[in-house]
Amino acid sequence: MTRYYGWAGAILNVDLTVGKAEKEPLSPDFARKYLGGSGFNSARLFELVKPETDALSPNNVLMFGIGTLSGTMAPGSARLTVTAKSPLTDVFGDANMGGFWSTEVKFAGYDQLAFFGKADHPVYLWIDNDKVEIRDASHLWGMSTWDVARAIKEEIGDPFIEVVCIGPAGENLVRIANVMCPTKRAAGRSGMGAVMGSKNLKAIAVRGTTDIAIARPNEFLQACKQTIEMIIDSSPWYQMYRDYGTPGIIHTTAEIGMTAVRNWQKNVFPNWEAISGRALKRDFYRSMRACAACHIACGPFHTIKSGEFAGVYGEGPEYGLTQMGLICECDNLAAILKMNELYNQYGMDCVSANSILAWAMECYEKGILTKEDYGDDRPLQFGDYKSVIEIIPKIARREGFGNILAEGEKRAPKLVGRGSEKYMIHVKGQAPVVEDPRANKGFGLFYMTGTRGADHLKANILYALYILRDTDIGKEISTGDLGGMKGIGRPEGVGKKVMWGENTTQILDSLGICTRTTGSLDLLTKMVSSATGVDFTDKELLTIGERIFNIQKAFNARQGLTRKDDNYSTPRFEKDPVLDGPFKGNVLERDVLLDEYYTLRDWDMKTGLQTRKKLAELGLEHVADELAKVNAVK
Amino acid sequence: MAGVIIDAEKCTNCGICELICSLTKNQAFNPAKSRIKVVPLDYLGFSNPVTCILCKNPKCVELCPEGALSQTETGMIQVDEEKCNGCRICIDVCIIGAVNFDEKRNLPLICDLCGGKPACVEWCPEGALSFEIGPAKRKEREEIAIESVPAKRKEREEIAIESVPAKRKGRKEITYTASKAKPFLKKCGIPEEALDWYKKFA
Repeated sequence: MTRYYGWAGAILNVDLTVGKAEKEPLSPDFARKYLGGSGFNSARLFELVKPETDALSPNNVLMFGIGTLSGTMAPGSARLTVTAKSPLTDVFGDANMGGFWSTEVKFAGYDQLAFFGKADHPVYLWIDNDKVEIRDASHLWGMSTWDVARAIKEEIGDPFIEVVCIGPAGENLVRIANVMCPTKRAAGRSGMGAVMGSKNLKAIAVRGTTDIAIARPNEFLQACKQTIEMIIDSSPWYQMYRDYGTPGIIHTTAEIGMTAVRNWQKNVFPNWEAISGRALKRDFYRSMRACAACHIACGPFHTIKSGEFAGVYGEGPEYGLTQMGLICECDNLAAILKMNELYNQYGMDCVSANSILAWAMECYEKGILTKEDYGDDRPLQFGDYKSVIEIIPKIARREGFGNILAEGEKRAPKLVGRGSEKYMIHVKGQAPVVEDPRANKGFGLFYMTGTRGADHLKANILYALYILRDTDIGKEISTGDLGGMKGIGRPEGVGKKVMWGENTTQILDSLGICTRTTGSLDLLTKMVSSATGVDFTDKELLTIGERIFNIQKAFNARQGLTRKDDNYSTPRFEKDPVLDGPFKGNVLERDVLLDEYYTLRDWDMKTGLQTRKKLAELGLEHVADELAKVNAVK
Repeated sequence: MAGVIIDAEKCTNCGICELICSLTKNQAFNPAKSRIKVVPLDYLGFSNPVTCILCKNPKCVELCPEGALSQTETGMIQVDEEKCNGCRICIDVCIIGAVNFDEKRNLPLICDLCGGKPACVEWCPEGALSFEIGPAKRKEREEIAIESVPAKRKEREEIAIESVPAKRKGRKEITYTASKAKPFLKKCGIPEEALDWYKKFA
């Protein structure tokens, strides 16, 4: 029996078909090779879920990967990754979440939870350290996320246990359903909530009261302290997050015209200040809330005291505020906070949802959708927040036109037809956040190369540049203007930034660390080594990051994805220039960007497929063998 | 006499105090073994770190059947590990629920101010914790001591009979936290009834 430091030392495999949970010891080799969190999940997903598996079938595997450093004082180490084959994109899917549930699972003694099969009636899992029970959830089915978490806490008799759950959206297999930890933590993207619903798993409740040991505590605390001070002294975003949270990002992006407005029709939203972090703070803010072990505390708790939405209170929103406002052209902040509350309670990803709503709005504007499509419901139109608020529950319950919207970015336009497809912007079936690919070339590239479809969290270039700034790689890829916006509209050197951003992000997603609280690669290595007692090097961590990203890519390649799939649903970003703002005239140089990126990754430039050479270098020969069977490796 | 002073409205719920306390005093990270307990009213955006307030007339010392608890001149509570019987009466009688319990070693966990330099105060990123000695703080503690004790006497006997469940944070801390939350809720415009859900457990 290995004595573990840092890691909890065990994995819980739950077979919902049979109704059994088994605790399996963590293998030291596996731990060293894949680190934790996203690494553990990605490695196992490749082994366990075959290409022909339908994401909503019992053969999909749903995993919760806790960070290696979760449960410690590593700054911002509260994060976990939820992974499965996605019912939204039908390819690799994952979602990331902060809060306190992940640390509770760690203290209960687990580095990963994996769910197999499907229960024959609604259930929830109750983990009380090493006592695990599968309990009936039939009486909880249909509840909002807020209500079910409270109901379970009452059942267990402890308001301080942690609960993740799905809302009605997950139960109804809405393809954009998320996994929530009420009141506001969300593993948002890729439809992970629908996978959970397809397994009849309503919630996972946990209490953890066991020790997490640290190999070299003084060295560890020293690295933590240095990281905290480094962030405070030199990170470009510390103050902004501390003051406003992610709603503060719009202060920069909207001001420089990098955002997408009115379903990507324009780039400038004149009244963006009305839905900014500053407006939130002025009118509704009450306090800032933190995730476990975080010194920044970037979660704004708000209350609406008067007006149409009086009585709304809670935490959040995140940058999704921007998604809800800009893409649907709504400048009523109180209404947006209400939308946020509804998405949280029904359990749906606001980024995908609002992208689909914006598509529907444009279709209505263009006459492709008409009143007939909506029946008695209020048609979705730009600026009409009432129509959004009314339709959110209907999407969750698959009622009326909501049933079509519930099918997600790829399928909804197909169901409608009538030429509506060209108004839905997505990559591999998932919509991006409202940053214009032509304005910020980094976004332009990593939206295409992201393993779970378009998303803004697989590359994290800005943070990666900061973390790597003192390394040789960092010096090579830095343009010298961290946090500044010069040069982001140019394609030169973008491939390198994206690659290292993606690799670095996998390190953070495996350690369970938030991008905003990571100081330097060197300190990260010190923290994980002194915590676990395993002496990692900077280089080894970067290799692990590259390895994990490559496994995710391989999962998709095995299903037949190639260069043609690293593309938007529309050619307009390559063809149509930006019409207004500082990036006017820009187009996306897709081929130039992909050529550079694939070459750097040591993948085949023509197909975008991985090479056996690279996979072998990363210790992934078994992956190369699998890919060779379907001609998906060069 | 003064313990760690808490300004709950500054608390962001990060739990760093619980982590550093458990590491410092118990050599591993484990909030369940921390001598400062952050009580979160998650739905209401308010958290209250609860720890020993160095009562003038500590009930834990008075009512320990084994005489295992004593109070130093500076007001700090000390545990004689040899004498302690693990009965948990001190947990029940503490008027604010500040006493924690180490299930493995069967001993109470009470803040001892880290010998004068409390680690939680050093690490709190919000300045919600401070450590001062002065007469201004004494009055606050006395008021609490008078208010709560008579109402609790009957309840304590009942609790002593039934077995104590393995909860991290219990009734006293919830009641104490709820009372501290009231001014914050008023500022927010959140009705006091919102506390009712938490009071169900108290």
